[in-house]
Amino acid sequence: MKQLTVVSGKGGTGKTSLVASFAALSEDTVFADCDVDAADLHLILKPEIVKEEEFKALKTAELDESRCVRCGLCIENCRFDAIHEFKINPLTCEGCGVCEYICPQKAITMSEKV
Amino acid sequence: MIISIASGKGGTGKTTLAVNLALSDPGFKLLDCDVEEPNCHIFLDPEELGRREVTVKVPKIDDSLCDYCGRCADFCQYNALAVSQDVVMKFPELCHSCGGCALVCPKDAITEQENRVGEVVHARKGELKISYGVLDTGQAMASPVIRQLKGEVKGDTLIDAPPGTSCATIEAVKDSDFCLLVTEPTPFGLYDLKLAVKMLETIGLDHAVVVNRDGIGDNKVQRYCEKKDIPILLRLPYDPQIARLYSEGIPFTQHLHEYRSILKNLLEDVRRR
Repeated sequence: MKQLTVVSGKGGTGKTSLVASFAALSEDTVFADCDVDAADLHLILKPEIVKEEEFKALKTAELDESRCVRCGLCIENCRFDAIHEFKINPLTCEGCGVCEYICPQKAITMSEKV
Repeated sequence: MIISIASGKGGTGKTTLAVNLALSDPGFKLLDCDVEEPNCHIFLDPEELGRREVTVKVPKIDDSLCDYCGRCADFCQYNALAVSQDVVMKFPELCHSCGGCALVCPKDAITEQENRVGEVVHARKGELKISYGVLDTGQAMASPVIRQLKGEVKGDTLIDAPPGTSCATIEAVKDSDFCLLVTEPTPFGLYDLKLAVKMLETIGLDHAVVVNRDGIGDNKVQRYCEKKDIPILLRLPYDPQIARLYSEGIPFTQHLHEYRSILKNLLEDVRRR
């Protein structure tokens, strides 16, 4: 056995409890809590933290109001309805970069978010 | 009024609460937005009224126009396109339908076509109307299904949200007037409740807590709620009768009638806030 994955369709069925029980029985196994929304395995195992790293994935659009001429092309082309009144909502922005590409004033830049 | 029911942790009782709330006041429509694993209809066994396909736009490439310059793949933030010397490979399950590839293609070789990702089902059980989304197996984009589901329903609504704090949860709870966070009095319930509260604070949504399986665990959830000034509007006891009905797939208000007025009052309480 190299790698074992514990999955369930339904929430709260006992994935973390089962994995923690395996951990109690093993000596040199690596355990990865991939439930990154709400990781709970560390609440049971109480590990000593060796290293923390930032994870940067998708980018978010930022609008420079001093350059913006309010032409509306960004709003028209955003499929995620993330731009209202020339303000970008970072929660609905999916980081696709269409607004940055379409902006004739180069008023929009994409930056990485943690 | 739109009330969403969410939780950081899975299996805390969102669906149980949502279904029993809806049965206690059928003036509310029930929307099951946990499209990866919708379960409300299993409690209700409703009569189906109709279903509608959910599709998203994905790129379609005209090979006679494409010169494999690769700009579409360079632009795509989601790696849904890969271009080699004479092939464009598509990964539609990664596509977010932003339309960027079609915009950047210098040869106008890209148009968009509809790709099925799931469906929305409308049903009823007596007076109660329920709609739920189903994401097709193997599909990764829950948000389009949730968006369509929410778009098709108007009026007083209860939303059963997917667990967690990711895009799908935010898509389900945003635009609600109020959010009920279901938790259990355990270290796991508390830890994930804190994450969910942080999410709701970020999107600026009023919320309160419902403690399920009250009586087990410790009082740390209560202490946290007191410190954060978050009201606990209901405690459902750790009651073998409720657990047994749940395990048989029966909504507990069908047998334990005393809870109907308790849950109806909870909805009235939320309405007044």
